[in-house]
Amino acid sequence: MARTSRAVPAPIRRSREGRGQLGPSGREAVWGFVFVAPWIIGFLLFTIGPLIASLVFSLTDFDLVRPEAVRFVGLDNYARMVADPLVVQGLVVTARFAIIAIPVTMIASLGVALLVNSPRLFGRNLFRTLFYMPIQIPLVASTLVWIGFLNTETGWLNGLLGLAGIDGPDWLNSATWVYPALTLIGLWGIGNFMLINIAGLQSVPTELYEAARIDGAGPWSSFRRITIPMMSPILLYNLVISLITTFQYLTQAYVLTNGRGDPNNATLFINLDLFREAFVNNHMGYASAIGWLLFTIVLVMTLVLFFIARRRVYYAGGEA
Amino acid sequence: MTAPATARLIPLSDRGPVARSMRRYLGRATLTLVAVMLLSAFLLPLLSMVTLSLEQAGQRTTAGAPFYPASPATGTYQGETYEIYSVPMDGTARDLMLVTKGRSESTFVDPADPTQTPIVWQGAWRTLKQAWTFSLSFDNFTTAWAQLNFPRLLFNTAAVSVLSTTGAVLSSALVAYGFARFRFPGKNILFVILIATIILPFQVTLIPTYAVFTKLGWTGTWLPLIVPHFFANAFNVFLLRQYFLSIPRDLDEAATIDGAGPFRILRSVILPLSVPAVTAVSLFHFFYSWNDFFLPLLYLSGKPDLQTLPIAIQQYNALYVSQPTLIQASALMTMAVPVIVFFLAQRAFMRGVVVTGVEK
Amino acid sequence: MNARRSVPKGFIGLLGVVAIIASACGSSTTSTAPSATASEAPSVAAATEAPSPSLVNITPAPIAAGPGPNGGTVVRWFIGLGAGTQPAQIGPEQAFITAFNNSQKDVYIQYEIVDNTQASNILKTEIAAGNAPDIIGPVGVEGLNLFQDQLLDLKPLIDSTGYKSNGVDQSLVDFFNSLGQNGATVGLPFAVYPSFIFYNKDLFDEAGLPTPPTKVGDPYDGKPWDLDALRTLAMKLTVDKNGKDATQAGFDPNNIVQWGFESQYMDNYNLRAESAFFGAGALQDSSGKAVIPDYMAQAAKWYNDGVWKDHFIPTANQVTSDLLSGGSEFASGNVAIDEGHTWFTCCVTPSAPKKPFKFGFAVQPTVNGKITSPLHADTFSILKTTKVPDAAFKALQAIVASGDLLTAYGAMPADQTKQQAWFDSIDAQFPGMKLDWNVAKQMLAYPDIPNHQSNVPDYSKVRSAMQAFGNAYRTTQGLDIDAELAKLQQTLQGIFDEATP
Repeated sequence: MARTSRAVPAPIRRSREGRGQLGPSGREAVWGFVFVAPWIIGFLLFTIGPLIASLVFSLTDFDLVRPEAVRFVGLDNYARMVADPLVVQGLVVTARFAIIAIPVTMIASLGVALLVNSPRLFGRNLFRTLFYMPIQIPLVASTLVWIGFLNTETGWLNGLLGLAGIDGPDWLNSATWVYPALTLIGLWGIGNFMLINIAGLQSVPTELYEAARIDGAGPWSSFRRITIPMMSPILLYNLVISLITTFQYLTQAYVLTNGRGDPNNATLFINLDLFREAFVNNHMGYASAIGWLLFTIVLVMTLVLFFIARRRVYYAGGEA
Repeated sequence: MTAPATARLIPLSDRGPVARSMRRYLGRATLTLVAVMLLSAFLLPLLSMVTLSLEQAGQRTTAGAPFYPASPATGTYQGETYEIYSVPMDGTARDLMLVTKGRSESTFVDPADPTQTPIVWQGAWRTLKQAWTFSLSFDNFTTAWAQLNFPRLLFNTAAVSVLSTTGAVLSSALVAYGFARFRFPGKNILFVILIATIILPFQVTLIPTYAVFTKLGWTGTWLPLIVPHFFANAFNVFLLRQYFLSIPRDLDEAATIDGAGPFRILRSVILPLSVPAVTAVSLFHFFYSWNDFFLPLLYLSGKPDLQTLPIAIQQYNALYVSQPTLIQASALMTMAVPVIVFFLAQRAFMRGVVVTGVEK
Repeated sequence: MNARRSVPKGFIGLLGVVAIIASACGSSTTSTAPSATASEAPSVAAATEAPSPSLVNITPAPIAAGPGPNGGTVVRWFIGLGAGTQPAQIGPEQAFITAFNNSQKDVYIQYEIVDNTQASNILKTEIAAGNAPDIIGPVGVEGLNLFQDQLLDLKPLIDSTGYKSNGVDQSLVDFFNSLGQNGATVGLPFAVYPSFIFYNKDLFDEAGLPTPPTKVGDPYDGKPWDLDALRTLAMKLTVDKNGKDATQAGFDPNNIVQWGFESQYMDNYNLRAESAFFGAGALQDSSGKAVIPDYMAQAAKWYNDGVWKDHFIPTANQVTSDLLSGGSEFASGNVAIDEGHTWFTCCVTPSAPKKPFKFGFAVQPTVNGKITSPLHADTFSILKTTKVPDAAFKALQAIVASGDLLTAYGAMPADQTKQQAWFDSIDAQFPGMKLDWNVAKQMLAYPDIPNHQSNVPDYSKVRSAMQAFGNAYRTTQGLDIDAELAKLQQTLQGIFDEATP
């Protein structure tokens, strides 16, 4: 691979200021390939085979417990998907959840990061540790905690609401309240985004704030004019990753809704539908087709985000 | 946020009128108070988890039991243990053992003098208040520790996590550096492919992936849980790339002029400036690996001696029998290492401030 | 659609290509991380439990293709579809395997224990990826249905070895033989679990009520022991926090602290299972039409009223509440009557600091003049992909014959000659309770035929539909059960139509 890249003619590299020191573009390209080589090798070893295999599955009627009787069905699975009310339901539910959960998570994780990064806060280390802690709880335990916490009879949440004179809702069994419930549970897991935001906040050079202060900028204005632009690469990351993970949302929904998207398919997220097709109904061929539909949708959205980001995201190191 | 880093080093009294420093102090106290309130609400479910782990298993199934860990006050009568209730009698309340329960009348015995004739009380015993005393039970922790062979599990989990984290961070840093700082043909396409690898749900690639590791003879070993991470993954590469991109290029260029090659620039310029991001990536991967359940279960089902903590905890959630107190106690013990690691690793974030502060 | 052709070869070939790429590069991958893995993991093959765990005895050896350590053919045994994954069961399993492997040199059993919430997913993964185990079990009728296409017909092995299910009543042998499709024998008789009434004696004493009958035909409190008697009794045993029962005026249904009835672990809320003691019937008639049998409709209404009108059955939220131990209802001590199978003795004991309550067995009540005792059964099966059927069958016979495993699993032996020993072993766990095992023996004469777990086209979808129905009447007040049943019938019809083109 390195050999081919060396053959690339030099003019391909558009010259930008301060970029000449690495020498000829050929050498730069070689170094580039050297550094990304671990991923390329791993991709060829472990990833591309299964990727292609799943694409092939999607053209078959592969049944998990009948692997010896696989037949090509062409694009049947894709045709079936269009008319499958559960797939449509899955996409609608997922989109609805994404619209609530992604902004809430983004804002909450940035807010908490600002809070626990503030030098004016006493005991910042402790606060960070404690805000981060919930996502370190093993899943089997945190699931039980939430089932107990949200229980209408003996759960603490409705107990507290009751003390305040509020008759708490049936969080997990009501088609209306199950979204707020899942969002609440999702909020509990903002730790990773919080930490990424803290890392991002620390990359903002302090002198910028000083300069702004001398210019008479208030906290809000410096947040808007310095923090947000300087953090924009990190915020882009958070957004893309939230998008990807929301469309793969499965485990909590599976455990808290009896594995069926109860009540009445209100929580049948697209990935839950995929999982059920694959591992409950054994239709791995069809599930793979759903997987590739999901893949296409999310990939397009991701590319759109990257496209928009080209103009909105500020890279201090220049875009490579 | 806007206060210059140096300002904090100056003693408060030197900074002007007392009123001003007082106000500043009050501001910090208020902010901290707000944070405490927010955190309390945030951690309420965690508190319920800790409470449960410190309870004896039967407490929560008793109607009217307190929400904090407690044990019922008891007395002994004819060799048997009985619970004590507060019984209204002749205008006062007496603490008596409930010996025989009945719907309309029950029999009580005075725990202070069990030899006396049992007292028959008319009324529904369920309306009586049972006596509880606050008491923490650590039995759940000791039971789980012994029953699950915790030292072995801790070792296994730590070994898998440390090895795979090492691989993931090293390889991801290299790859991210490649994507952030070098131009090479097909880079954008490769980057999109990289991101694309995490967009397809892993459920549809699980079977062929498992087939690959089976053909390699790696099932029943840690290798499928460790080796793939030495080839970077998109979550880590993407994050590090974003971070590397926000580091000004003048720094690399200065180093290049000093004769540094790409590896040295990565090691002595990029990585030191990216300590927060590298730490974040390491922590994420470590915790992911520590708590991963499905893949270790899949690959290690035939090897109980190689298994990790999350698989073992799940045994308490077996078919027909769920033991919530043991689940929560073992989960808290499982969490202990990650929480301590996180607390210690935070220095990295403090150092991040210093680096950017000093860097003129 | 038109150009269908069978291509397993191309398919497997693809996997092969992937594997070849992977293994060709295998050497380079191991060289990437050799120092790390090798230093942590010297191969010392000591899989025994050390009292103080030595932290280096770790063997990253792949599942062996050659002979096992005792020189015998390796047989892989997959545990997790049913019982067998609790800490208290793993010990006896390991002991059994060690003893078996040491006792002969032909067969070497290698086991996989998989958490049961994931067991079927993992087994499916192994099967689909061509790495299936040889033996699965203990597995119930339902588990067999889910893997029906992969089960080996044991008949040739039974014939060639002359295996006899000694001590097993012919009717039970026939029952086990009926579990395969197209007349195949897919499992050896291991355990049977008739169902009956488990009652909490302490709660009956507190209420001053006599316990239900232990002999078929005996009355309860002078009246026939039937569904109405059960309902009235259960309401008397449902109590609110003020001590009022559900038959009394002023009973507070919002503050119930004790419930009269539950059908715990009858596959929670699955209508087909919960209704099984009302009768037996097929979900599909001979023309392929979906039917809701009358007994099932009757049961749906009885349960719905029991939850919302008479309050003697807990709602879904009450089941997951702390009072019912988050789903271990009977063991919480707050449920008076539980309709359960024999294996339920595994799970009745409450945890400290509650005193263990006394419990007892009683016969099923009559419903519409008939007694039905839904039957569960456990067996062990061999997967048809096995390369070592003879060795696997040898291991299978040993597993099925093990009394220690029966005790560890709480599995009532299908073999009558082993039953008394098993009863004694369970009695030993509950000193002073004097469990009336005659109840279990009597109930074996009233099995549900067809069984409530009998196979139907697309079993897992039907099961989901039945669970969704049950979940609805446990969570939603004021359901129109007739309308819901009509919808269920439609759903079933859709499933059957899709499954049988």
